Amino acid sequence: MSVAIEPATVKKSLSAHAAIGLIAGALLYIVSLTGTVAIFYQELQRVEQPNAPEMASITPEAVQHGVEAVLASEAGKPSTTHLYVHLPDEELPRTAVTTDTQAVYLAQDGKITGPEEIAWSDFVVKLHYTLNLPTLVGITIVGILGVMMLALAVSGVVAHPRVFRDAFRLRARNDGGVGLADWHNRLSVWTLPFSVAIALTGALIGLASITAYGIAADDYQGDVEAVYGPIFGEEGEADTRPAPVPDVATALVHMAREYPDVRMTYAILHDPLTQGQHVQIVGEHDKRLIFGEYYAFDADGSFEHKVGLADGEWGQQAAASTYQLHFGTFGGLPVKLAYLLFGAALTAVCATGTYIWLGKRRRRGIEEPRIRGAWHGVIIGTPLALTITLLARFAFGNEFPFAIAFWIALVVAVVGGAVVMKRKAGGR
Amino acid sequence: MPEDMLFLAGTISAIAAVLVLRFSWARPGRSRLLNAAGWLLLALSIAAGWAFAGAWGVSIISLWAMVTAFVVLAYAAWKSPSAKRKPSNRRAGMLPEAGEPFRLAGRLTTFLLIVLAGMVSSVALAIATRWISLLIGASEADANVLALFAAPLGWTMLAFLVLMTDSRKRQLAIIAIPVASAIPALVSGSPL
Repeated sequence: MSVAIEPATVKKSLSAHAAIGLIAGALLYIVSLTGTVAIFYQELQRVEQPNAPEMASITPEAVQHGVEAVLASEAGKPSTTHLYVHLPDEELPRTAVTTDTQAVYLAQDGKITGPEEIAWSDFVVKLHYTLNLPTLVGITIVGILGVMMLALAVSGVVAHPRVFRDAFRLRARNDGGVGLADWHNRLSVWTLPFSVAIALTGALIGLASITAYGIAADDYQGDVEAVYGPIFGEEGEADTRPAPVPDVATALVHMAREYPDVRMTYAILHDPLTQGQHVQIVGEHDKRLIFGEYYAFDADGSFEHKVGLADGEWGQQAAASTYQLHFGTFGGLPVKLAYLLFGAALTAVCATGTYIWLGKRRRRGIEEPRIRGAWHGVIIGTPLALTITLLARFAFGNEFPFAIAFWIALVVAVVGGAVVMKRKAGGR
Repeated sequence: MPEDMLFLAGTISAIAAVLVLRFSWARPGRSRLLNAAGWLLLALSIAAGWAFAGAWGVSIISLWAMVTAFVVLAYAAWKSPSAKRKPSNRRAGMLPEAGEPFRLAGRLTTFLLIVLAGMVSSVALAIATRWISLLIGASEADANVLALFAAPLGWTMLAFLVLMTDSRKRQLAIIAIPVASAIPALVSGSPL
């Protein structure tokens, strides 16, 4: 396919493509690389803490015991606003309970076995989500990077009118610039559906907060939760008077009886130990992109309603589909491996773009050893810094300051790369 | 079982589509028939994926098509002869050549237009999208989700259009249009 686009438009689009790529390139590379690693978040947890108890399933009674034990362990402390029970599944056959202040594993009988220690896996995910910045700032910046990735896709297609016609031409054995450009363009074209899906869902997730602030300011008197209420369901009315532990077991029994085809992934307690408490079970549906449906129960475990993520308004279904589509968790290991392949390709596209630009300038006689060295630092330094933090996890344990170590190592790599390349250039 | 056959047919169709396009685009002359056959097979595979399991089916089929293309590309890389062709030196115009002014203030203004003004403009577009959706009868959930999608998509187009435009006035107009479109929503309040 060849599209007739005005040469001036093509030139302008290439300029736009380069501008976005050069400004956002380093962060896009970091986000792409960490996203590719984070595909295996569940598997990484098992590697990071191999001795945690594993099970194919857990009984409702054991979950109830576990919830009671965890809530009892927090007696006398400020009560948690939410309590999440991760129920064992194929990818992560572990039962973990997370509150506002702690996360522990349960044994098959519901006894607490010890703390969840997956700080490195969580660090990688947080690096991908927020670049280790405060949540609102970080997730918005990553959302903007998603927008930039979409703009790169649009400008890249417009800047290369033969991009589809040449979609299979790969002159790999050329180190003069043709090979690099071919790798960049071919990988870009064939990951285009993947890149657009990843960038759009990432931008949506990242920019949802500020967009919701805008909508809330316009129409919900500043109540951001009210924007999400019609989509993901409303939080119940708060009533802080004390109440006994809610009956999670009855809710789980109801789910197993009434929805045998639904895979339960989480039990969520809202405002536990208060009169306003209620229980939600998250259930995955087979052959769906949605992360699950919310099944709501009262504190006695009586079923109340479904939210509608599986069969409600199309907007609810679309919103609930963004997460699995972004993280590649909708089809087991084969889909994860495909995401690994395309994620690696996308990371390579981010890396090669700046090298192509530097190569063109070098061929025109403009040498920029500092920029080239700094870019080497980003490309080599990011996986190196991630590897250093992983090694530190096994050497120094769960409490190691992974984010600080990562960013220091990366800055050293970037500055070091610039200095070394400048010295090399000066020595010639 | 017929559903599984449908999925299998979709998968085969997706793989065949990539191979037909590969064959078609490798020919010295353009073949409309082969091109059409390739795109038709791709469309059929997506239709089969949708019929099998909606968006999930389309996603899986798309992945298989992309994996096939990667295999074909890997083969092309393996078989690739040493390229003699000179690489492209098309200027991207991102940084000045020797002797050209750097125009730091102009570059910074463009950056701020895309990032800060673009953010305000895309949120305004989201508000306008939601307001119009509610006016034409969309449910509150659908309208809110449309707004959440409108912000990143709108921002993408704004960033692209601003960078494609040399005139500062035209750039400001591009940014201002979504803001203006949100005025009725901001003035009249909720249609709910």
